[in-house]
Amino acid sequence: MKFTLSAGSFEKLLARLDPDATEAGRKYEVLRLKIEKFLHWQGCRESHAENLADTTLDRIASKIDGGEVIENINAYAVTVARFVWFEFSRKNKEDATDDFSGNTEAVDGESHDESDERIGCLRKCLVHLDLTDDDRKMIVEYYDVEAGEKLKQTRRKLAESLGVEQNALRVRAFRLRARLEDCITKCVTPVIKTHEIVTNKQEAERR
Amino acid sequence: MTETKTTKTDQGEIKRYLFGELPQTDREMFEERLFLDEDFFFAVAAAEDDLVDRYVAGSMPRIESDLFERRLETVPTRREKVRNARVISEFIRDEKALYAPRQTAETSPASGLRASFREWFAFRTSTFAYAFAGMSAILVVSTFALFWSNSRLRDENARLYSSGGDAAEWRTREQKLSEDLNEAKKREADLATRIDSESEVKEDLTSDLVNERETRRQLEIEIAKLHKLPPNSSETKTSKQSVQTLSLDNSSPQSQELSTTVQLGDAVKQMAIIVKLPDSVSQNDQMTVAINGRQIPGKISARTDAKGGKRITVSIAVGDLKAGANKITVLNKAGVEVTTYSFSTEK
Repeated sequence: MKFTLSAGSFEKLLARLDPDATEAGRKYEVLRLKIEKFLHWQGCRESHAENLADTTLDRIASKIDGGEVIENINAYAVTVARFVWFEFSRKNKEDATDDFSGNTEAVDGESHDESDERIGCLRKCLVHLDLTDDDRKMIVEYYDVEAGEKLKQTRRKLAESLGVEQNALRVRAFRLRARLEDCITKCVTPVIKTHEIVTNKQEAERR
Repeated sequence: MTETKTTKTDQGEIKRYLFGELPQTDREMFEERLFLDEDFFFAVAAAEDDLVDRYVAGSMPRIESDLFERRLETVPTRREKVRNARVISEFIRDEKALYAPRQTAETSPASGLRASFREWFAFRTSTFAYAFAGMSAILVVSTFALFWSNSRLRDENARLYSSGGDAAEWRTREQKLSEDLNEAKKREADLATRIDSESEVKEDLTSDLVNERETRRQLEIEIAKLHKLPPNSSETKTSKQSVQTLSLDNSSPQSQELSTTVQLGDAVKQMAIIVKLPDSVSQNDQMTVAINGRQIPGKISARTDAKGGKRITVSIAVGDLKAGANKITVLNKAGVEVTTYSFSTEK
């Protein structure tokens, strides 16, 4: 039976994450992000990852709501996320062992039109996300991989200029980029993935 | 937040995780740490961005890029990250180009020099200002006169060349064509290497490669004409190709004739095939492709080409083609055959 997250059980989940409401909200967002990233790294598509992260959090909330003692929510979350992914990939085998490549493949990467569309989306997102000059500067300086060896130095200077630790700068840059990428991805028309060529035995036999 | 600095060992393990190289037990332990240690989680997520950026910039060692590409096959979201990273890196380049001159003007030591220069030439009386204006006017008129005279000399020179300077003109033309040819060959080799090694955006690259080869062919013909040689003489032989392109288009008799039989050199490993579709097909219509009865399970979207026709592109390992006759069939979403082409390969 599917558990539907009620306001009450959500409140309980937040309270278990942290007694302070603001900090609880932040921890909830980070936990959700961890679950989504974990699913991505398992090979889950973006579109499914959001739903599966919701399912994972719903299940955790339902356990708490049901009075189950959970010592560490983060430790518990990885087990639940793993199980949710296992269930999903068993049902959707083709999604779990996702497609593509080898040397022979259907090629349909981005055409000029799609690439232009993505650039257009980037421009839209820069406006839509209301990025400040500092945000743009951070993206340009933090992710300027062409700077090569100087990049480490640039990042250190950037952290100093903002008065934050390098770890904190990394999180800030990552979040900023994640927002930008998320916006671009949602803006562009999904492109067709490429697939590994396999022998269709039935087809061959029929011929 | 748990404050943990990532060590070199961690960094090695992070890479192995992101490349999908960790054994299951280690992977599970790694994933538990991801959830328990917030700092570690962000270190891993940021490491993925850095890997993607280095891959896109082409600054990844070959062994790593191979692992990266292999992992791309099973992590669809990373493929999307690669596409996004490409436009973000373009944005960074543009922003740097925009800001660089501004920053130089605002902060470099030269701005101090410019300030003193301006100070030197600041007019403190109107007499100096009028004198300077007069001198500037004379300078402008002299410059125009100089340009006019120079242009006349150039015309005269060209006239003399056309009457008696054929040899010099021939050499200049030959040198220019050879330079263009070398450039075209370099671009062609670069495109072929990229098609061979990249798993994305091959469609653009294939069209680029076809165009580049046509440019190169035209240049070779022109050089051959200059040398009064047949276009296929040894002097115009091209470098070995690793990617062979093929355009299958039954609406163009010339293309069809050219594409019926494909000569595969020893170095050719891959064939990038552009298949023209009938006009009944619309943009983004989902197609499947079978080659010699072997089906490509994924869907391929029909795209509009420069002439407004529809086409798809397929890249085939030469080892997957038969020596002699080959058949490529395109089917629509309902499994109905849309078009079929035959072509032969010869070694």
